Amino acid sequence: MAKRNKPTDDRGEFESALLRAVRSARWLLPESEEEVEKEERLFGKDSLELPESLRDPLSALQRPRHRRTLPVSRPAPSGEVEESLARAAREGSSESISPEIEARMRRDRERAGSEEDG
Amino acid sequence: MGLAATDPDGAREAYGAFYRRNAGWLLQIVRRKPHLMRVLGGEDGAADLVQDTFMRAFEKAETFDRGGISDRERISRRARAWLARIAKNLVLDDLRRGANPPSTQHIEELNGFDPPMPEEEATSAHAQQLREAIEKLSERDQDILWTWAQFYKPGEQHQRLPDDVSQALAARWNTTPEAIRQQRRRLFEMLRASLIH
Repeated sequence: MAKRNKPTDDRGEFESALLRAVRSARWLLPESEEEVEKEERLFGKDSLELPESLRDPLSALQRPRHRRTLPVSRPAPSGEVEESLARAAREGSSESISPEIEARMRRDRERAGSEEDG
Repeated sequence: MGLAATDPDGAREAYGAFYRRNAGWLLQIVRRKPHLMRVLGGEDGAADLVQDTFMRAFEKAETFDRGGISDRERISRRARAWLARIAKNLVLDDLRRGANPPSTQHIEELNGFDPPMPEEEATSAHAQQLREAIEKLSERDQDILWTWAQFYKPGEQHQRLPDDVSQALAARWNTTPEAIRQQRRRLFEMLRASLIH
């Protein structure tokens, strides 16, 4: 009789098989030459005709940075930002600010800038 | 120092040619991924992803590694794989931040759009069984599985989704991260059992 509860070391094997199944169902973007080749075999190598909004190659370079990926407004986790800034003030150096907080501050500044522009 | 710094005009010209060869391809690939289209929120999100990908590619052009290959076809495929990885990383950023509302419309429009899998890819009966099983899952369970697959790294123990991603996934389905975690566990047990029987 087959065991329903397989040992834990089977878990990785099952999960890898599951990931392969997800890949073979083409749910994911191709990440290797081989996967690109498979996609090209199925759908052709040629590019689609681009919609008007994408026709100018330079427009991608001129648009506001990461407009698509701006985070939705949500509260910062339990004073993390304030604590990081307070530590920076105490220690007198921006090196005390974690890269994550710095990135968030930068995004907030960019968002504020684009809101002012728009 | 990259071409963009030493010869900005030449860099833009090369970028323009690269864009014209590959932007339509990338858009086509993105459109064929219904779960991705859901996260992107539709056509506008797909177009934004293509533009952001090329902007990032322009900024990071020096990170493209030809791998010592001289065959033009292979270089082209390698460049497309590199572009798609950039796009994936941008999507992971989106998922971590919980950006973009869900849209079920694209799942409905694009299901059945993919052609049948070529025979040579059905490498084992188990692989085929798993693939058939995941394609029959509900929209919610496919979303859970797709999100897991975005972050899963084979060989690493005790993996879990980033908190922001769990929260965004839960929000998409009006539930809690804990309920999503439990559903994923049940889902994996069910898929595993489908292989045994």
